[in-house]
Amino acid sequence: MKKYLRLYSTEIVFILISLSFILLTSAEILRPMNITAIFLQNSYIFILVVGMAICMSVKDNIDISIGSFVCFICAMGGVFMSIMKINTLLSIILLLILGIMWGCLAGYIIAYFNIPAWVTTLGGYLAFRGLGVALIRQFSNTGSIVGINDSFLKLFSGKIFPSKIGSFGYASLIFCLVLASLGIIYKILSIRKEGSRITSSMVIGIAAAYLLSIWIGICFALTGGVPVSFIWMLIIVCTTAVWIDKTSEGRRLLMLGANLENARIAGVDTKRAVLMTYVFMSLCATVTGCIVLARFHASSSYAGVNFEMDTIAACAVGGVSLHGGKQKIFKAVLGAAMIGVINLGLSLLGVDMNWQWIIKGITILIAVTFDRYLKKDRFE
Amino acid sequence: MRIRAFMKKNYLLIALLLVTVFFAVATKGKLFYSGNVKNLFLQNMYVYILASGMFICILTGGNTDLSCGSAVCLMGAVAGRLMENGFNGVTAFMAMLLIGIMIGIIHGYLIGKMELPSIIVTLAGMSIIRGIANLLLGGYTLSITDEVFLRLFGLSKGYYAVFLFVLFSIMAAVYISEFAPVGKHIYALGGNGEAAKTSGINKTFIVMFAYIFMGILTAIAAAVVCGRTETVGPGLGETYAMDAIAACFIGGTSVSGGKGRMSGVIIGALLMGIINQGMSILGLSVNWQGVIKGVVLVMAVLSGYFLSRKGRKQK
Amino acid sequence: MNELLVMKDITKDFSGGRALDNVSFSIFKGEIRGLIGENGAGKTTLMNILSGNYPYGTYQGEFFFSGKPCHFVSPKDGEKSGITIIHQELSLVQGMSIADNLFLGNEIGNRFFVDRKKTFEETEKILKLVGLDESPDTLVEELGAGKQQLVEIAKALSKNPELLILDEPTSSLGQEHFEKLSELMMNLKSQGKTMIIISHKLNEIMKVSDRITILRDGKIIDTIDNLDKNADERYLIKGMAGHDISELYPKKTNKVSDEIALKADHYEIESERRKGALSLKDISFVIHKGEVVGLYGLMASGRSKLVKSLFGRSNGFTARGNVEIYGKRVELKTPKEAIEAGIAYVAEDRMKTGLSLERNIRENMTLPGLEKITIRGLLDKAEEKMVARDNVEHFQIKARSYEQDVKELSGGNQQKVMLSQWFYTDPKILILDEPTKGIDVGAKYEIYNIINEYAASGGAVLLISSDMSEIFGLSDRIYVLSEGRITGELDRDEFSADKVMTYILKEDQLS
Repeated sequence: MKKYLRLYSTEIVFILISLSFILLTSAEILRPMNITAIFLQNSYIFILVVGMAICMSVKDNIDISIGSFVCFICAMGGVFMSIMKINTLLSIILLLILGIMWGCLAGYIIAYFNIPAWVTTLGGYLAFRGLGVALIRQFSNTGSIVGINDSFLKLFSGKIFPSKIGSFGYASLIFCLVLASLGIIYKILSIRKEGSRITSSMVIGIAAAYLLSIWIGICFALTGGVPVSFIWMLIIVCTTAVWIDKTSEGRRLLMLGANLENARIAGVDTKRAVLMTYVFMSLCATVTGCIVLARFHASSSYAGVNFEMDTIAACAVGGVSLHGGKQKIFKAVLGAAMIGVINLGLSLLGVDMNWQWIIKGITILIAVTFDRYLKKDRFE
Repeated sequence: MRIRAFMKKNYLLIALLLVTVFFAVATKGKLFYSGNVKNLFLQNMYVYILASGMFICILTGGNTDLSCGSAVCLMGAVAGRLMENGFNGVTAFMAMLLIGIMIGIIHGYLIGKMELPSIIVTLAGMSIIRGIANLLLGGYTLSITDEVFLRLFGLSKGYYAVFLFVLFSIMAAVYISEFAPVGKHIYALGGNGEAAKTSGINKTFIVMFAYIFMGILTAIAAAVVCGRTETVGPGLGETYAMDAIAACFIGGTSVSGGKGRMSGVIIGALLMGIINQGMSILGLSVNWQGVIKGVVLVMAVLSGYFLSRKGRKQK
Repeated sequence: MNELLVMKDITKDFSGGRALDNVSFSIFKGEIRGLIGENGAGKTTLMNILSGNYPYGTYQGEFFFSGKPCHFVSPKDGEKSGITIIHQELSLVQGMSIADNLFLGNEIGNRFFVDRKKTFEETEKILKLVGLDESPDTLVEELGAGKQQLVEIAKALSKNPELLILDEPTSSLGQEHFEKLSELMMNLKSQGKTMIIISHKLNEIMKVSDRITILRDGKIIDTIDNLDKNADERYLIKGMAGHDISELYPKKTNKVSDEIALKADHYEIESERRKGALSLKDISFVIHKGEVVGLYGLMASGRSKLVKSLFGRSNGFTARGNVEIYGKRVELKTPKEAIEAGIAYVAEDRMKTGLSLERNIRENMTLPGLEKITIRGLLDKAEEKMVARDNVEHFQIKARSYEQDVKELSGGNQQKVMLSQWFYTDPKILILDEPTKGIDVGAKYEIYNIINEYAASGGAVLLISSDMSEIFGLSDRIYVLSEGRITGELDRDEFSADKVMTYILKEDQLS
């Protein structure tokens, strides 16, 4: 019994939380508008959580600077495009370079100088928010920089296959189905290539995936199209999952997270790998920054507030930080979905923002305690 | 050679001197105006108090309390509401202490007994406590008008008792770390957990002690801040935890625990204060102050690493 | 009868096996008892029970101290009764002063204030007793290993024990330190203290002990008198190391070629504890193609340190010297370079470093040799599965499938997974560090076969083992390592426990 609890703890908790909110909101939460909102409003968590899952897969690693860094990227994006009138492509490249630079700096300090991650990224937490807000104040009197390039906005926000609200955007539904099919074909092909059989649980999984995509597709179809941020989220989640599963670097990272000493003896360059996880995390934060910038059409001093809390909560709830094992990415995404559901559910219920803070904090504590309880048991 | 050894030993004081000189020059001496010097101490009283508590926590093994800033706000809110409803200042302060102790017990248990990472626990705590505080404030900024409270913790009534509280906090931390047996246990736990265990030291007890102490000091800090500003508003205490942590690390406390002195922490707090004050006088916005703080924090920890490199064994 | 301590039928089982088997042991007041035995003989376990580290109830049997039955629940109980143990691993807080370390947990003064002055004075007294000329306020981290060991002893003495247990007190120290220690022990004895000293350094044991007890495989073999300090060394060695000759080893089918696979010339490793000193000096040896070379030495002789250093400086110590692989000079600075050069290292500790317990067999098997199943950065998973399947079959690993998590396997099978993962890298030189530690006889034999096969196919093996008969059974040649130096070399026809022990003791006599 306990074994199943341990194995499927994330899924069970997800179902419990979803059911609770379905009940509490009298199924309001199941409305297409709301389902879409989960993705729209929380795209940042879905992307950041992937980076954080990779980062936290190695013992004692964490990055609490991501929220502030998002704010900084937003500010710099505004500066590049609105003030310096740099074109979209170049701006994006510059922003990515900034992301890589911070990731390298933080990663280097943490991996090569053995400075604890929380202290190093705490420095980033302080510095980048200050920097971001200072930049915005510098270049604008209104507290935000507006005038972002159109092409940028189109690239990171808005919808694909836009349709009028009220009408049914068939294109969106078909698109989702096509994506799901591609994904499933890929999965089947890779299973065959690896030489495994297709088991019954896989068939159930495939069926569930199709149903899910149909449902999401319909929601998008009814609410004006597929959000661009959703696509970004898919890209990052899928690419990362595939990378971990299929590349040797990904495998090395996986084994590194499982046992650092073993990986080192087996020839893995552990310091470089840890540094890379911070670069990746930083890049995720950069992409998130772009999405946030595009969504609000402006650099705002409030960008990224609390992102690190939500991301860590998502990781904790997804059991990522402590399990560090199978299906890291999947669990992280589930965790993000849970936080998304909680966020939206509480909003729908009209719960005060502050109660949300309280509930999220308690959720983290319960998740981490529960996980520790499971882990302790294992070694006895 | 001897100069090098001297520099190594007193690098903190030298840094303090350099920074003071830098800002004195940059502000064309305004740094030393009596008004500014006064502010230097008054505005940073909370740093000294919180850093004293944070120091003890870090010593136990790199444990931190990111929630102390939010706790200050919560305690202020509770006290404010109580005094609004007729309770006197002393009762209000007792309530603050009680909250601090309760928070300390919970943190101590989760971190000491359940061995959960202190960053995550206190990060979650920060969120929870901030939420409760905001609910209590309801978006309003409360005014503190209770005579007793203001006499104890404020400066507008002509009493200076508040300084005693600040002194008490610092002295308590000095006493614990230098004179009390439990202080030895704390250093041992942070320095070599196994050795501490074989010497019969109870980890849970020590960690709980540290966090309860932190809770009490947080209450004192809250009282001091509210007494001085005579208000409690949402957003109070947002940077407090970082300030305290920075003061500790600048002051040479080891990030993994087991090493550090209160003398360093005081200088660290002083340094932070001068940097803050200097930047304010120079007209730098709060935002740039945040940037400087972040950079200084990382540099302080890095220099700690380089200074203690005695043929480090590669891991 | 003046028996201070009487232990009766002490039996202790761990999940891995029986550590102590009906041990009965007694000491007289004022006696210095030496306790010897190989790794895993049960010495430390017995002492852990005696000191209270293993509480009453976790073992069977009883023991009596000063006539009273002892039901200790923690080391503190032991200390209160007058039994103090000095552990092998240093338990000092580096960042604190000598005085603070000495009285840690036992601070002088009242509950609220440490009496600094008195602490200082008391510390001075005890330091004088152990002959340590340092100020009580000196930080422990500023002391060398020898002095730190004295602080450990001082700490134990501060608890005023009747019975003092010293577990490998000089394991990382040199001869001079032992001189001081033996003086101290004689001093204590004249004060009526009783002592048990565990050491693998036979000459030291023989210099101080009144009687010597030999432990082997959890049983007491014998206790002999040593009052004239002239016990029969050979007898002691045979008692420690003797095994049933009925243990079989597979017939060796390898042919030692003339070609040299690995050559080390004047290799030396810097000590981490003693600044400027070397922990391994002037190591020169060769391994031929197709040869199994055994490296024998007692604990702390430097065997593991040597091989870990050869394997790409994996322990991080600074090392110098000439290393050649098949005639080509190499400088291996990381494990990765070592693997690429053709060296494989099968770690001693399979749970902590050798394997990733949470991952499955397949993933563990292919980790060091990941490059072989990588095409343009991508893993060839089909190939990986085939490799895993083949290896499971070849090494006869008993598991549900190669997808099973390694932590669920038995010790022997885990060991086989480790071996298979390193074999997969196609090594030219295979370093084995205690390859059959904690494994049942059947699995051991299977592993011996694997080693033989490898040598027969032209591989070169460097084998570390504490099991003398195992090393005799497998090796073509043996080097003896003692106190950081190679003190002897034996060809297969010269193999004998006597000769090996002679070489081990040789270093002690030299210094």
